[in-house]
Amino acid sequence: MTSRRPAKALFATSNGFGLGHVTRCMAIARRLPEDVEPIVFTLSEALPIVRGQGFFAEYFSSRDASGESSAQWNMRLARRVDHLLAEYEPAVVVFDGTYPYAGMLEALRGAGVKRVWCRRGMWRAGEGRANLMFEPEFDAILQPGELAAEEDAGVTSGDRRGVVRVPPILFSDDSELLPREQAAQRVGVDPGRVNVLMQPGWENQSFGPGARLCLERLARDARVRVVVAVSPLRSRAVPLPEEVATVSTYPLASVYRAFDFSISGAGYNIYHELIGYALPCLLIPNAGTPLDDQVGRARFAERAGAGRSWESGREADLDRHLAALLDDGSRDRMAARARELRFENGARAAADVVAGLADSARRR
Amino acid sequence: MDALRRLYRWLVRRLPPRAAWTLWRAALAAARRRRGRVAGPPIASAHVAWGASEGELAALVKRLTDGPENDPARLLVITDCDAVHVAAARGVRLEHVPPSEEWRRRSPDGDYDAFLERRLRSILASYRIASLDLSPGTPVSIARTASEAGVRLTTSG
Repeated sequence: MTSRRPAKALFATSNGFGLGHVTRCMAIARRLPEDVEPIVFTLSEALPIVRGQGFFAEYFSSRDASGESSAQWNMRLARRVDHLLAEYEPAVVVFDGTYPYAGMLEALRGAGVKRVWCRRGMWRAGEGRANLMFEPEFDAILQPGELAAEEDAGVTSGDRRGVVRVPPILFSDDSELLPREQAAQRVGVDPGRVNVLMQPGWENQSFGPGARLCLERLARDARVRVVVAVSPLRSRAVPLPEEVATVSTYPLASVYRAFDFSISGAGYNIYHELIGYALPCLLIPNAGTPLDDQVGRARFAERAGAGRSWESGREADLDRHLAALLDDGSRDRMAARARELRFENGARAAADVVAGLADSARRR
Repeated sequence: MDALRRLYRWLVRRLPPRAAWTLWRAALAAARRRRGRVAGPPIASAHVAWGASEGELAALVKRLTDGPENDPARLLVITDCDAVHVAAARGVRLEHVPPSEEWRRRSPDGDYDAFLERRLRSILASYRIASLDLSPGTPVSIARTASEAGVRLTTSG
């Protein structure tokens, strides 16, 4: 019996504000079969996190960090991608981002590799139409599922030719989450209290007035212990109120069971983790992102009964939502609704797509 | 050129995707023809920080940006240190190279020095670098490749 040389899959991730792109890539990469070796090429400073998860990683500074013209940066990027293709000879390149870079596309064109665009949906209505022009540059478009798909009014919604849809992608399977006692110990909280995880969404780059108001309201309930998630990305560190307890671990979902509910942004990864792991939540959607329709996601969660959405910014609404989340019965009902919405982790199906393309490239 | 760029952006936002893609392809072809003429950014001061800890890299970046040539866009650091945020936070250009132990873990039978030579040639082709300051412990392959490319080498210890 002869052993086959592993095919390589190069996962290229854009920078982004948080860890969404790189986390999605790693979610897929860690589920590839043994005969496909993942390599992560990231523009994110999350490089140490990627290495910490056991992946071989390459880094290229994003244009934000370089201060050069688009032409210069893309020229350098094309040269680097040329170099990576020559060094690692990947069979497949998977790009996760909403706007593929010209330099990368130029290097990939005619390189004899399969090109996959992993592109989450739920774009804000009317936004990003020009991005779709890059579809012909790819052999496959992989669209991670959206639980809130019925709210999706963006340009990637509906049936689009050549798009492979998989269920929502999560880094961890439910079975990988620590049990409550262990998770509580890891976070440093008492499992007998009402523990609240605040993860405001790091694209906001501040611990804003809404988050402070939540802290103030929750401080009135003696049962409650609040822990604020600190981004593991150092440049995303934001000043926090004094004496607030913090947690910074990756993946954060591994300690979700220490908590009774979460107050969160409504970005793709956090949202699907919260609903997927049935953690009741108060969502504070960021309406100011360029493409991501967080408001649509948050509304769906509230309508489905799996969470609450605080869009208005009004204190009275916050009080109403927190009263529901601080009520044991109401929280149990939210968790039960979330479990009814449960979905299969799409990361494995996405890995199958990538592995299939790697295999077809290997056969050529 | 700026007016053309604005017109291009205006058009691709309004055209149907297929027509926008055709226009984009034409723009890319023009950019490719220009590629050889798009000069890499001129670098006033380039440094190798090999084997640097996060603190050492931060100290170097601070020293460079506090120094007389303090336009960070004209400073380049080549390093195998994973704390890439340190340079980005100050706007200094950074070229990261996978450290030897990581590279060898993935490729136990590979030749890391040959990899470094290829990577450095690619980096040198991307910038206009006249001289390169080497930290203690800089691999010989880096110094040799830079020297062969006509880059003046210095060591500031």
